[in-house]
Amino acid sequence: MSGTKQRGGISLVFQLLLCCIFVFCLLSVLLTGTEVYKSVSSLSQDGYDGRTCLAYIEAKLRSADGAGSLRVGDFDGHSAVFITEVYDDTEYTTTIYYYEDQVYELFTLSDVELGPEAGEPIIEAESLSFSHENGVITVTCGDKNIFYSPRSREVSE
Amino acid sequence: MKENRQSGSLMLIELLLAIMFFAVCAAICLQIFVTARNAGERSSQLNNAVIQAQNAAECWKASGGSMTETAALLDAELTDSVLSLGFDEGWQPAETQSATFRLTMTPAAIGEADISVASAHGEIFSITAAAPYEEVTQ
Repeated sequence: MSGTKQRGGISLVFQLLLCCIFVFCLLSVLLTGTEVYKSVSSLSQDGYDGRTCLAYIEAKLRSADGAGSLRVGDFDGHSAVFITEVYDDTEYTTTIYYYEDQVYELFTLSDVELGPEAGEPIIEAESLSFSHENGVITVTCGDKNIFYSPRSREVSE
Repeated sequence: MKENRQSGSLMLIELLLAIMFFAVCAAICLQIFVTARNAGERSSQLNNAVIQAQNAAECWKASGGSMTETAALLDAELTDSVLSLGFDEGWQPAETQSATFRLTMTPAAIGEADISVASAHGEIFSITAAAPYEEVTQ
């Protein structure tokens, strides 16, 4: 009788132990899943942050690359690139700059002077700066940068 | 008493079956997690490799097809007309010898250069850059 009781007790402990192992494994798999999801999501966010802003600016520069149409300079204390285009004999300037943690774009008549707050926010970014050296425009967004060599070979400062 | 023992064994068998089923599911899930993680890393590496290769191509174009000038623009090492540039895990410039990723640029046809970005596991991205014809200097 005592042996049967003991066996019953051991069986119960064994079942409880199995249950605990089951719950532990379940939690481990769940935790691993969340960790992997976090890492994949962070990688994807990094890619988005780094690439989107640079790709947008590069596409803008490429589409407007003509003789003297690109200029790297300062816009009200902010590093900026100026893209000049002519539509119906009227000259317009697109200014891309960094203002209040965002990349801004301002499209105006070339002879109209507006402040940085007048632009349209495009995308959030850590930082954005432009420089022009040895015929190459360097666009730095956060810790990533791209070089752009204007096909027109003419960039004013 | 006999019924009690029988129900105990049944519960044990049920529990063991549940654990076995769970183990199979967990193995499949873990495999999927690892694949997802690897795919994410590969995508991130490809993204950065494309940026670096494109930067090298832009410098090659700006220099009119001169490997020396390209090396100066990229701040890269130049050995026997082969340009090499190293990057650490965060894709920041690093010593070529200890770098996690390596960009190499070798001259191909006149005015052209093969650009390849590789890690220790193999090539990530490659591209052929051509300098504007009228400006080719070599």
